[in-house]
Amino acid sequence: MTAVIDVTGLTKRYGGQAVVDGISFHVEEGEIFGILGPNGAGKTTTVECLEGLRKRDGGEVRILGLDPKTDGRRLHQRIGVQLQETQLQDKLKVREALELYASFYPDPADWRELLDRWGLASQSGTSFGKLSGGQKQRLFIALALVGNPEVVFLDELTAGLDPGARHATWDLVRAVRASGVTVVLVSHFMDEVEELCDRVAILERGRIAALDTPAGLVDSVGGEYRMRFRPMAPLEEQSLAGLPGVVSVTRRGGQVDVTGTGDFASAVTAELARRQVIVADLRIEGRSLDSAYVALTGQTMDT
Amino acid sequence: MNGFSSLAVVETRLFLREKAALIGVFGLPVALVIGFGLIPGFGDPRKGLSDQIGTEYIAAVGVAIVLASLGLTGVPMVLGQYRERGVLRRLGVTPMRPLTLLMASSRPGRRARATSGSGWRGRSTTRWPRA
Repeated sequence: MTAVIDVTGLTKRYGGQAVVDGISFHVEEGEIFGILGPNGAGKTTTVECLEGLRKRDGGEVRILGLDPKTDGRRLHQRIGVQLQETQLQDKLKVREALELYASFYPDPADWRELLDRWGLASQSGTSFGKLSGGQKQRLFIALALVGNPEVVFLDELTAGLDPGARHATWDLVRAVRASGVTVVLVSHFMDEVEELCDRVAILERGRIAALDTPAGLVDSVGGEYRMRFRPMAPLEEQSLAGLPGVVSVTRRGGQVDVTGTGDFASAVTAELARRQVIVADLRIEGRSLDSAYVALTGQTMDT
Repeated sequence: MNGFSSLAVVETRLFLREKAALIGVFGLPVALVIGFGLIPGFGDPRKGLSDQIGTEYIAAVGVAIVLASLGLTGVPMVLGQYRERGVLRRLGVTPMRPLTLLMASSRPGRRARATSGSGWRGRSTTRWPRA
């Protein structure tokens, strides 16, 4: 594994105020790296400095060994970008858009194949202005991939997509990664980041508040999980209370509530199995990235 | 096709799809020439126009209108829209140079000059008015 993106002390100021304040991270080859944070945290500014759309005020950035500030054109041949809130010309047809963008790159992908893969084949003759939100978004992702990039930046990938389309898009992002492309994903959707990313940087007011795997972030915040079930045979609560990690056991009518930390759930299920107690309605409620985010940044998501 | 020629083709196509722009750019000068051409006596050479006939003079004005409306309002308006819609930003992250876009979007202008010129070159000796 080699670092495809290497960022050290990246700083960007607008009118003297640092919007991105000395952040450092690296992204390894074939990774899906998430950048998460509330609106105005500097996510988009950060990726725009990486893409070469904005000139950084300080720090070092290397993408595929190239500096976006001085080597923009050579870098652009090797990266693909999906920008937040861009439009194409209304009268431009889907096929024309892909063909046009393909012509900019030295070694483009087959745009017909991209049309099929992103489910746009039947829209190939449709003007951009007549596409639905989801179709536009898929077109932008296809455009990001048309140059056969080694690194893809996706900013607010699933904004404006319905739940079905979001899940389909996630599958496609995984497919993109499987083909060896490194993905940088900017998002403010927890579920998306939790679902897709290998590692996540949480940005807050221009600084990295935390950087870890989604599971690592959740664990670092700690906290208790709750397990609920209904035993189908008599069960002594005390037999569970002594298990490692278990904090409390309470009984409400026919239902048993166990709270605990770490891997207590497997200890409980093993104990139940040993006692040959069959349970019904088993449910485990854990902390999600959502609650970890709130704990780490001290604020709720501003969507 | 390279970036420049495909962009020029796309820009020309997009221009031809704008019905309102087409009417403004080509319809107005043609209407001018036809309208003035129908005025009785306008076909005679005039001293004040350096011995040109009136229709020739208006044809020259018409060509100027085509070029001016394309170059002075058309291209800046299109580029302004591109900026507003983020098209320029999107193109900015491709390997294409910004200058290529500028050149490609001014191509319909050159096209227009070619078509309008050939359409009106009725007489063998077209003299342009001297200032």
